[in-house]
Amino acid sequence: MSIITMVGLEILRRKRSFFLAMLAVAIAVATMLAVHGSLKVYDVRSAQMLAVKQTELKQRLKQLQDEMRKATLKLSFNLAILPAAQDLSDWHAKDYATATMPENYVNKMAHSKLLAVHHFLPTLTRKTKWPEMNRTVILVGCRGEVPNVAKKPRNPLVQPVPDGSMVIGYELSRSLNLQVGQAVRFMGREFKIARCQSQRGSKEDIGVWIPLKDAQELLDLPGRINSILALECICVGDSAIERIRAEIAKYLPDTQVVELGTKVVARGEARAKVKQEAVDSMERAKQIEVQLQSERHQLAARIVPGVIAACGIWIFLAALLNARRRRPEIAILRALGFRATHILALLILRSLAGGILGSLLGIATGLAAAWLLRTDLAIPLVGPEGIVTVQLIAGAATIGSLLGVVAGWIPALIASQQDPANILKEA
Amino acid sequence: MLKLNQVKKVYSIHGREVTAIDQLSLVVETGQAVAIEGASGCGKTTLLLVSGALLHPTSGSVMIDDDDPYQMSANQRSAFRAKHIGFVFQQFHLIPYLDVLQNVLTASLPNKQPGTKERADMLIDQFQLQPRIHHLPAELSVGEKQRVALARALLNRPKLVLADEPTGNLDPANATIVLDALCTYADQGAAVLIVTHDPTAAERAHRRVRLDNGQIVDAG
Ligand SMILES: Nc1ncnc2c1ncn2[C@@H]1O[C@H](COP(=O)(O)OP(=O)(O)OP(=O)(O)O)[C@@H](O)[C@H]1O
Ligand SMILES: [Mg+2]
Repeated sequence: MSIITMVGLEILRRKRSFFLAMLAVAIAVATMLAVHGSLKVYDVRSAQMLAVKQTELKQRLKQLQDEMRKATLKLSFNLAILPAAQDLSDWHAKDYATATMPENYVNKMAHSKLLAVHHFLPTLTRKTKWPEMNRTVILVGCRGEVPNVAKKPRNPLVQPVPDGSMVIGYELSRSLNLQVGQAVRFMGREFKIARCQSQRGSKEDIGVWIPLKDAQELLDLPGRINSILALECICVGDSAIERIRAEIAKYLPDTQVVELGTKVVARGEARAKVKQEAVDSMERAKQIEVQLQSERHQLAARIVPGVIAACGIWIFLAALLNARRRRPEIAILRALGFRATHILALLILRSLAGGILGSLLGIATGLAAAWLLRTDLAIPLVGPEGIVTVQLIAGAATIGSLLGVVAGWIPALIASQQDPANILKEA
Repeated sequence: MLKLNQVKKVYSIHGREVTAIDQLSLVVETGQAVAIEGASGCGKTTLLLVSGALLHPTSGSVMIDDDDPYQMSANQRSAFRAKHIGFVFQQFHLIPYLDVLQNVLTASLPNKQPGTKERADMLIDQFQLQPRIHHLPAELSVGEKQRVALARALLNRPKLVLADEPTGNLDPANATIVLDALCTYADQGAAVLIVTHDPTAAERAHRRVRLDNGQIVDAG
């Protein structure tokens, strides 16, 4: 016989009252596991939903950007860098700059860190006579695009004019009945028509594009250009043009920058806005999710201690009842020479047993609940990334066992301090 | 063996004081079985509990051999009870979830000694409880219950046995067994106090002490 045997026998012979105390612990432990498990399941599910939403959004954004890019491709450019000396009224009146600047300015720009501009197109443009055809044309010498080396190269927006060839505007090809492949002379030099542009409804319809070098020689302006077109500017925001202008001025101080219509910027801004909106909506979805998550966690943070407290009170009352019922027994044991600490041990060990067995029952129930919650999720039941962690189980078991002991402590203490003489006299 | 000297016990309840025993002096020698008689409420149980190191007297001294249990710490007093004092009550006070053998053995828990199990078996035999050895108290007759309580009280060979109306609930045959056992135990060299209302029971004791109003009116 020992105190532990006595505890065991008492539990066995009074199963029901012990089971009730154990049940309270089990409920507390199972609640801890089930609540944490369901939080984890919720979190995983919402993260999955967000991820799906995000990929969808990314795809849609990519489509949209593609469409936008195609649209901007047709508009071709939107900034012109002109020599500082160029009189702008004159430029507008003539449709081209009379002043010139060195061709290597374009290289300077290409090596700049001007991130807003993808491509630079140096041109030498003049309104001139096509003596052989007796037409006034806009002659454009172009060299092909110079990509911004700071940006990753993209498909060129404008096809360069191959050496020895010429691209002609719609009106010229139509009225002069010129065909692709046909050889024509321009200011005494022979060119092969590489392409006839479709109708643009602008002065470009009387444009003649030849390689820059040919234009420089024909116009007797070697190494000179009169404008650099900055293409596909995608700088966004209210003062985008001002910022680009300021940046360009840093690299090419003796130039001026003119905005060629605002369509591209508008498109760029629209595109940026669409993207921003998508990002914003994603952000909002995320925020709502974060808020819901924190609300769930807050609720859990209230529920779990509440359940633990309620179970603690339950265990306390059950222990109090048990100790009250056992007053004569405790009194006779004291008369037999049991110390107060023996009585305390007798009652506390019972509470501890209730705590431990209740924790085991609670873990089993909690895991079963977590298993049911998990359903189709491909995450393990127990593990660092699982629905419940080993630490959580250990923590819940510890709390459960402590709950039994702590809630049973005061009744046990009261019982052990009772005066046995009074009870023995009463009986 | 047991020496009570000018012992007084005053209960105070709700501010009212009740003197349960009053300036009582009594000496019980080894080998004596003393019957304590007296009307209900005259302080018999109080006398027993004070003698049994369970109830502090308000004044006076209690000596068991050369020890004053009320000069000891609570734990020392518990150990002293375990070793030297046996109790038998009218209500038996068996532990309901322990069987006969286990109930007898509870007395050995605070005072582990070799040979306890053999002595328990011997006592169980002596009180004819062998066929009931693994029965719970609820499955025993009243007489059997008191015999179990008696075996428990005698397990540690205490030098002082205190019995509070041990035969109060028993039939004559069982009463005889219990009283005989107590008197025989006294003969073997212990002091025994038996509180009883029953004159025939008192007659069996070596000495009869009569109490009235907390005082000894006949020291036998
Ligand atoms: N805890 C207590 N508080 C107040 N008075 C008490 C207390 N315990 C006993 N008494 C009183 O002390 C007196 C002696 O009580 P005690 O129990 O010793 O009597 P008794 O002789 O054993 O009586 P009975 O034969 O009925 O068992 C009684 O008057 C009783 O009312
Ligand atoms: Mg009494």
